[in-house]
Amino acid sequence: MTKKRIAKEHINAFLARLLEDYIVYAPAEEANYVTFRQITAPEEVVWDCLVTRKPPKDVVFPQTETLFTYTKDADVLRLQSMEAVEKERILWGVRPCDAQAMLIQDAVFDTPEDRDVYYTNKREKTWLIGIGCNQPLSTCFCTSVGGGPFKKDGMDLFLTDIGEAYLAEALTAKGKRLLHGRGFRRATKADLKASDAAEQTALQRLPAPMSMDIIKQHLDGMMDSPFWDEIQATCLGCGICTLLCPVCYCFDIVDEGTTTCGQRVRNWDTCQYSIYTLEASGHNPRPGGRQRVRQRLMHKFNYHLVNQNLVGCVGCGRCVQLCPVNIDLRQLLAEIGAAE
Amino acid sequence: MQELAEAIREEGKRLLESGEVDLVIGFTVGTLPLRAAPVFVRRAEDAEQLVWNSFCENNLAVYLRDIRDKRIAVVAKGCDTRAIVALINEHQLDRDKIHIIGVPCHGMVDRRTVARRAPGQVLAVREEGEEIVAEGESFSIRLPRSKALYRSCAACTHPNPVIYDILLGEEVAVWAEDPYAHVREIELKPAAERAAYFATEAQRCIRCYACRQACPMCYCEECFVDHTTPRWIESGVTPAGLQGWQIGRAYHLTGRCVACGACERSCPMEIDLVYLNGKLRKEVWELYGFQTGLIVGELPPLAVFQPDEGSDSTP
Repeated sequence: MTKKRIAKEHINAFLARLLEDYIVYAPAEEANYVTFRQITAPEEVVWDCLVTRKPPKDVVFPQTETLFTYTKDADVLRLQSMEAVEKERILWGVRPCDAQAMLIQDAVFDTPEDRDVYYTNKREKTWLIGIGCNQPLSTCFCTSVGGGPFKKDGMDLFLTDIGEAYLAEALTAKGKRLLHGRGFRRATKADLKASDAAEQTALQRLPAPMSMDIIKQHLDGMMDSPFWDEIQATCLGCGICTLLCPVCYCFDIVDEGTTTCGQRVRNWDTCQYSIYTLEASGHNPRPGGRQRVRQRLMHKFNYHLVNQNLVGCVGCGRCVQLCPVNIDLRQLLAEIGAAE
Repeated sequence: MQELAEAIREEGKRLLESGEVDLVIGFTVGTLPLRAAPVFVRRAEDAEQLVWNSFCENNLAVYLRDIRDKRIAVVAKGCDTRAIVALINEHQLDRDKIHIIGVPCHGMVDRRTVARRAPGQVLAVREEGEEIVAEGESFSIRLPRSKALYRSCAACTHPNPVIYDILLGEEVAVWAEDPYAHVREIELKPAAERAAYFATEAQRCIRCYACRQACPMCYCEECFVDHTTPRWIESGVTPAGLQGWQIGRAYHLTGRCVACGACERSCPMEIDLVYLNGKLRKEVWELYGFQTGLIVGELPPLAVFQPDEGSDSTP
C-alpha cells in the first residue's frame, strides 16, 4: 500500500485536521500516569509512552455500557436501545500489541454466527492509526505471542519513527484516504531503509520468543498441578491483570432500576473474582484462588487456542508491570514451558 | 539493610529447621527493578530466597487469616504488626500460631515516584546508604530515600514493630512530623473543591478491588460491593457506583485502618486513598484519641458500646 513521509513538525497539524472530523483517543496524561483517553488537542499526545495504563479497549467495549433503558407508564413499556454511536473515532498512536488485542476481541464479538451490535457498531466506526515501537520495554514480549513491535495487523495507517520524520503507511482504503494533505511527501528509499533498520533494532531488544505450542501442550496436563497453589499463595485476587488486559473481554449484565424505569447495563467482569462463577444456588465451581489463577492462564494460553486459534495474550506486559505482588506472567509461562 | 536481610534469612532458616513453624512469609527478589515480591518459604534450604530492601511494600498480614492450619512466621514491619494486632483484637488471628519476625522499617520507596523521576525506563536499581540509584540505558539518577517514600510511609507514626517474637535490627526514630499533613492540606480547600477532588479521584477507579484485596483489614466473607440481592450500590464505573464504593470501603475501615498504605500502593489508577482513609483516621484520633492496632485487647471505638455514653442529642 501507499507509503509517504511526514516531517515531525507537520504531524500535529495532521492530527489537528483529524480532530475536526473525528473523536480522537490517544496516549495522554491523566493524574500521574499516561493512559489511552479522548483528546481535544494534538499537544495532549504523549508520544513516548508504549504501554498506556489503560489499553484502548474501552473505546469499543466500554467498562460500563447501557444496553437499553426502559420506562413503564401505566401498562405501556418503552424500550430504548443505546447501541448506536454517530461520530467516527480514531485511535491515534495505538501500539501493535493493543491493535492485535482488538483483532482478538473482533474474533469474539463479531463472528459469522454472532454479532454483538454494541461492540460492532463502535468497532465499525473506529479507525486505527498505529505507531511502531522503536524501543520496546523490558516488560514487552509481543514476539512470543505472534506479535511484533512493527506488526501492522489491524491498522489503517501506521507510523514509523525514522528520526526527523515518520514513515506513514496506509494499510486499508480508509488509511489511504486519511493519508493526504499538507505535510505528506513521497517516501524516499532512505526512508524505507531507516524504517527497516528501526524494526531490526527493536526486534533485537526483545527477549527470545517462548513457544506457545509447548506451553499449550504442557497446560493440557496441568489441571491438577501443584503449580497453581504456588501462584495463588501470594496472589491477592484483585482484578488488575484482567481488567487492564487489552485482550480480556468478559462481561456481566445487570439490570438496574425500579419497576417503572431503569436500564440494562453491561460491565467488564473478571475470572479473578469469586462472584464471577458464583451460582444462584450458592455453589461456586471455582471456589478458591487456585482455580481462578489457573483459569486465567488456561483460558489465555490453552482454551483460547482451541476455540479461536489465537493466543489470548499480546505481550504488552501491563499485568507484569501492575501486579501489586509482582506475579510475573513471563516467569509463569517460562516455568510452564519448562515443566516436565 | 544487607545485615538485616541476612538476619531474616537466618531466623527463617532456624524456624523451619527446628520445626517451630511450617511456613515463613517474607519477601524475595522481584522480577522487575524497584520491586520485591511476597514469598512463602516452606523448606529451610529455601530461606536463602528471603530479602529485605526498600521495596518490601506489601502488608504481609493480609495472608495470615487464610492459613489457619499451620504455624506461620511472618516478616513484619511496623504497619504489618499493627494489622496483626488489629486482627487479633477482631478475633481473626490466634496470636499463639503466629511467630512475628519484627523488622524496624525505614519507610518503603515509591516505585512510581522513582520511575517518574527517571528520564527513561529504569532497568536496574540499588541502594547506596540513604540514596536510591536508578539506572537505565543512558542515565543514572540518585534520589534521597526520604524524598522517594510512599506518602503513607512519609507519614508513618510506627515504623517499629509494635508486637513481635523476635526483633531484628535496631529500632528506628520516627521521622513523620505531622501524620495528617496531607489530610490537612485537602481539608483547607473549600467544600466544593474537596467534593470535586474526591469525585475526580474516584472517577478513575476501575473497580479492580486491589485496595480491598491488599488490605489486611478487609476480610468480610462477602464484601458489600459483591452483594447482588439486593445490590447496595450501582454496579458500573458511574459516579454513583465509584463514589459509593470508595465511601463504603472507607467507612467500613473507620477506626480499623492501620495506615499501612497497602491500598494506595496496589491501586493501578493511583487514587489518593491515603487522603480518604487518613481523613477518617484523623477523625477517630481527634474524637477518641485512638490509633488502630497498637495494643492487644484495646478495641476500636466503633466496636465498643457503653450504656451510659452520650448521644448527639444529649452530649
